[in-house]
Amino acid sequence: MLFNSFQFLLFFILVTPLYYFTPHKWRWLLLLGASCWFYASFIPAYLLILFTIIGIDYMAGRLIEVSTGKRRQLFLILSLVANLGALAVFKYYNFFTGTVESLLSALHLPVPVFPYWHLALPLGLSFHTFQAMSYTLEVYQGHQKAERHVGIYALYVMFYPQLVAGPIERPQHLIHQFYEYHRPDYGKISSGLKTMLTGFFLKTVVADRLAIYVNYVYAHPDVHSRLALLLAVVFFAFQIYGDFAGYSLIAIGSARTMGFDLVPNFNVPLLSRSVTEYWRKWHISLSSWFYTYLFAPIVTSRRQWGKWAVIYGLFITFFLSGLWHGAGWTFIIWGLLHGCAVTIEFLFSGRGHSRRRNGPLVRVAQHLLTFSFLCFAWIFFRSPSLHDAVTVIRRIFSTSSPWVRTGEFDERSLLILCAFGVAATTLADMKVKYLPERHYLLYHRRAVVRLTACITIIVFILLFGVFNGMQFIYFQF
Amino acid sequence: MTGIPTRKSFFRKALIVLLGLILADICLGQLLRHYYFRVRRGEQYRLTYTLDSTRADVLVMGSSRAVHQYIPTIISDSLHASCYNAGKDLQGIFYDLAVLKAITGRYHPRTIILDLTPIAFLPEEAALNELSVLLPYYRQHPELRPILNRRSRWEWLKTCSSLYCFNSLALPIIYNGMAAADDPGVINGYIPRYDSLKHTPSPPFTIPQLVEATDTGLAMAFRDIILVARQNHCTPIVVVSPVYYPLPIGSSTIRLAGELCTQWQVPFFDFTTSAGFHYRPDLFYDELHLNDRGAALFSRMLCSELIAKGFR
Repeated sequence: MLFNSFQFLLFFILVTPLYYFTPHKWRWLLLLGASCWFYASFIPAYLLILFTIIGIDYMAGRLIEVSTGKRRQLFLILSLVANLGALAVFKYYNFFTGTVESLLSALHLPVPVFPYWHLALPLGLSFHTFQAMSYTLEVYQGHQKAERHVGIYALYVMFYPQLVAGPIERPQHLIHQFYEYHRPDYGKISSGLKTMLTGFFLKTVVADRLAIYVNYVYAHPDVHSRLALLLAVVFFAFQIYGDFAGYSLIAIGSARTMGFDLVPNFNVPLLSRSVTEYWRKWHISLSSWFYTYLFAPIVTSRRQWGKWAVIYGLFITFFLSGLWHGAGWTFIIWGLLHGCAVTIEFLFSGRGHSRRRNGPLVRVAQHLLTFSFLCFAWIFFRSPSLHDAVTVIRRIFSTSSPWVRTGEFDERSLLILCAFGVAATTLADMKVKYLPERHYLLYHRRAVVRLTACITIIVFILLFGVFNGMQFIYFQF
Repeated sequence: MTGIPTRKSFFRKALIVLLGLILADICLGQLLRHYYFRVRRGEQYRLTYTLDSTRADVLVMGSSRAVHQYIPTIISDSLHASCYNAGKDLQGIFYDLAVLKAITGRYHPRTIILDLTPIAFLPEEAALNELSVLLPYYRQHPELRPILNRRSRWEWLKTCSSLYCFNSLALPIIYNGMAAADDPGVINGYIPRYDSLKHTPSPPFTIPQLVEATDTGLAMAFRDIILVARQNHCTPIVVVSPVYYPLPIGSSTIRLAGELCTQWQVPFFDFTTSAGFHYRPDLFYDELHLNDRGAALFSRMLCSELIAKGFR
């Protein structure tokens, strides 16, 4: 079930109080059962895939811990192969075979006939496989003891708030929380509910409203004017931010109501002054995963190359990050664009730290340049094909395309609500970044302000939220 | 910074929020309802007029292809009967069924002209989502409820909230309420488009769409439209209006609709094969819709066919 559905609301209202009424020693079972129910509402049969991977990783963890030398490596490899194999089969098979066919055809070589697999991608596969791999890698490195309790380990992978789209947790941060007794902490419950409310607002009022306009323009990029395309490009940056940050907040908030702490996933990324800074603040759990398990080992193993080791590590990491996001060349190009930007910043960083460089005009220019780059790269991410991405870019920069077309902006209500969503998100983020000491209305010291803010946000969601069951963008990953 | 709430203060504040929400829902809901039914222009007004006021002898129903392609004045003059275009953008069979049930509960039109798109019977999740336009009428039109409740299992519960029923309508209510009373350019529900095609359009329907298996639910809703019309002594007429590109292999919708109409002896007119409209950019506004000139030509052709078949 989707977080932004009535079904989830009923599920949450049922499960959360039940958690506190359940004796501590059976709470893991309740949460595991609820997580299974949550996942089964998508495609029940795929629970079997999840259980299989859980079983393999659980055994691998136990065997890694008691083994030495090559045997430890073997069990780690088995676990990684099982997880990556599931990804390869369900997510990348058709992409790889299609690429091989195109390549062989371009080289005028005989093309083998690969069967096309019509397999629906198990929801959250990319997320829970990475979380599972994190576990076996940490056990292998000796940073985490192998979990004895198979139910607790299963819950680590399947914990419903973060099962399908993260945040991607580390075992050291999450597993021990399942053993702790959580009394009802009304401060955390209140904070969790407010976090969820913010998430619902971002998802239904901001992201899904922007999606209506963005989908309309991207459906036929060849007929829209330059202004319409530019608006769609900018709106998409806020749409995906609202969508994903909204999901993460709902996940973090719903876990917090039960006393669990999940890692934060976003930290006002759209106000970054560089792409490097952006990746420290966007999808933090994924970028730190790639840093810990991919980038750092690559750079360390090739440190004799000097700065070329960093560049090499960056390109591999961003290539794979792009591929993780989707089985398509548009995602790979998106990843590599970011890799290029971070590499350039790395090569030119630390040169001329003068007061002039940090002046207000320079800072504004940095914000604008970074945001413009992000929007440009998102074109590839959003477009269904490379051809469409090129069409969008070509029409935006082409002087022969009209700036405006008749009738294109007749949907005033939609545009006003989109502008409101962008403004609300920007102002909220600016408040977090530049006025952190001031509290959000939801956390104001006066109760009447807090309560009024709660009611107002819910009213806004009911009045302006989009309730057509639009799926979260990152569900497709 | 606030202190950690106790259980008592938490539930007290939760109750305050709940009560405040109920109060806001009732007050704002009443306000929106009052102004929604007061506006005299825009899509909301046309829908209210369709459901609550029109008493035209001939009703045209369907999606945007109905709204922009059937000229009531031409139909009126040709058939010597009053005509109203009750079509609505982005709507399909479920909407048409709901609206017909609401209308026939009030009066019995003589004829219903139902425009079908060539892919009207294809399963589409958006078809139920778009029914949200009928939510403001949920309370006073009980005949709409069974169809609206198909949107979700919990629709009956969600519609207890007035704000939910007026979701996404606040700004149009304000905008239309502040504007002049008339709906410029709208003629008995018909909205003309005057531009012509200036570029070669993309084909609006793909081959997979044309051959895709039809949805049983939609086919049954189509059957129900015919049944409701007949039960209320209305003559149903089913029309598939012209297209810019000829359909290379017909469509599963047209085939099924044709078969069902033959079976039920319902007049069925398929204008997708009319070569006089194919590749005529001067008659089309975009790849899916005729412009005013094309609509006039089509409306006259349709009326000639109807008169030839004895409809007056």
